[in-house]
Amino acid sequence: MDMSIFKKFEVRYSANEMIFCEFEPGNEFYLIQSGSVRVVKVINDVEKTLDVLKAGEFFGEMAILENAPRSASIIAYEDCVLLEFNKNNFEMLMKGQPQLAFNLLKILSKRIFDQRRRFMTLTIDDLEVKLYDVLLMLIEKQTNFGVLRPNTVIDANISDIAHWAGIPENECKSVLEKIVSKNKIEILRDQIVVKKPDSLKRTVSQYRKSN
Amino acid sequence: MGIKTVKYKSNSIVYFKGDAPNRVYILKKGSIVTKSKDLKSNEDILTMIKVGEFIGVKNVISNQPYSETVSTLTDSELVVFYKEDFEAFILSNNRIMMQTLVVFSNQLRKIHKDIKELNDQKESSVHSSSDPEENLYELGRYFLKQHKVEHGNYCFKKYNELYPNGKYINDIKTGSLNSVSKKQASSPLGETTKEDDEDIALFFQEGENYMAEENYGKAHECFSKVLESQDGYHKVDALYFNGACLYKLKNYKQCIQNYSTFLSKHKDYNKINEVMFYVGSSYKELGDLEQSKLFLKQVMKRAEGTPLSHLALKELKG
Repeated sequence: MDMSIFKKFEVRYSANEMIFCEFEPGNEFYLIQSGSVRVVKVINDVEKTLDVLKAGEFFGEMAILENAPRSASIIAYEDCVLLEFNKNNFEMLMKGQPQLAFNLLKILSKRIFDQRRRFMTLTIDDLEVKLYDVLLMLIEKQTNFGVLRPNTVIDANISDIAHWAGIPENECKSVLEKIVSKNKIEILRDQIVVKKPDSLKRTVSQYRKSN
Repeated sequence: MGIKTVKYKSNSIVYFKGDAPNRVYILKKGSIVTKSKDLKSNEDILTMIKVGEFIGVKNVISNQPYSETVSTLTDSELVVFYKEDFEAFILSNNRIMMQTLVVFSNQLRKIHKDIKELNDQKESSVHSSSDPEENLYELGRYFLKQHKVEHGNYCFKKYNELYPNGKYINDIKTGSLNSVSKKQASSPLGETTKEDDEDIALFFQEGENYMAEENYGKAHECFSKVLESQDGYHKVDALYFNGACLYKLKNYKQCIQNYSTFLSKHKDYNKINEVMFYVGSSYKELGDLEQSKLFLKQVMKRAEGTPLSHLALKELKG
């Protein structure tokens, strides 16, 4: 897509600079041209990185569509160039570039699925089952329609798993070690091998049925 | 392929939960119902679909398996769009595109809210306010506590713009928003007069601000306070900036003293070439050309091709 016509909307941020913060009213929506940003939320006095968005991705659109305060803070992860649109030229952009609007629809719908899935994980109180569900969710994310195959390798480390489960890292580590001792997973440097994902799925389904 | 109308008998399945998402439907006539699981209770929820309503849009757009089973209650007619046709349809219909964006955005915000409530419930001991003014103030405080002064100041600046008469405005105004001397003002967080962690972080930030204004005397005062403190955070950066201030203030001897052990202790520091430049130039100003040459030549070699290397060359020649 030729984006040169949007040059006048260009804004630049240096690494670690705050682009906007949670709870402030938002009138701008951003499209990342280069660099990356962190989506940050402070939950119970812990700063959590919800996502890292890269070139081609959007943020801030919810404030424009709904007139509501920002739902997370955005901090430049690297030096970045963004296109900044306000409510008026957002609609103009969406009308003039329907493919861009459609991409936004794709991103929003994907985020809805991801967050709904996340919610399901958070409802599980048993930590071991919760981590099973996180592992399953990560397998689903990287495979089409969540096909479960033995010895599936997930690109995640202990810190990622703790983040998705919403628990402290040390607690996560000890539960994962328990799961390793049951020979259900193997922890590599930045990867986790899930030996029999279908057995994890059965346990999670049984837990959900009985609760 | 193409857009077509399909008739279904009563009690037929249109699609099952988990099926591949390749079609979007619109109910044209009759009555259909979707059956899905409630995320919170895990119970089945049945939802009646109104005539004219779309089904399966989110799944088709994001290529996620259908998340509910859809069946007819009576004989019904549905308009069926295959994936490609639906994309073409929505791309040419801006009004529906914008409406769908708003619907999705609402759904996303709702799920974010549910997640927040769930987290709050699980950690009920932690107070969580629904007041955006308080939340914004607390967010600023959080960043300050974490020594993320720029982020804290950003939140307070926003607070100042949004709530000029807000309940925390005095705390903020006497605090970090402006470069106020900490000895004259109360703590930004109104907690203690001791030079605690937040104060040190604020002195550092003030020092940086003074540097930007080229007020090296004031900047030197701020960095000295950081260096005097027990807090190790920011110390290496403060030592670097302090040396730069001393150089700018023409206190060459002190500048060399400031950096005396820097090169051996922090040889991986990201501005180590600048440190060498300040030391080399200081020696030059003090008339020790031999020492000066040693440092400046190193800078030229290590920072080859950068403006700093040119500066070093200029110093060597000058």
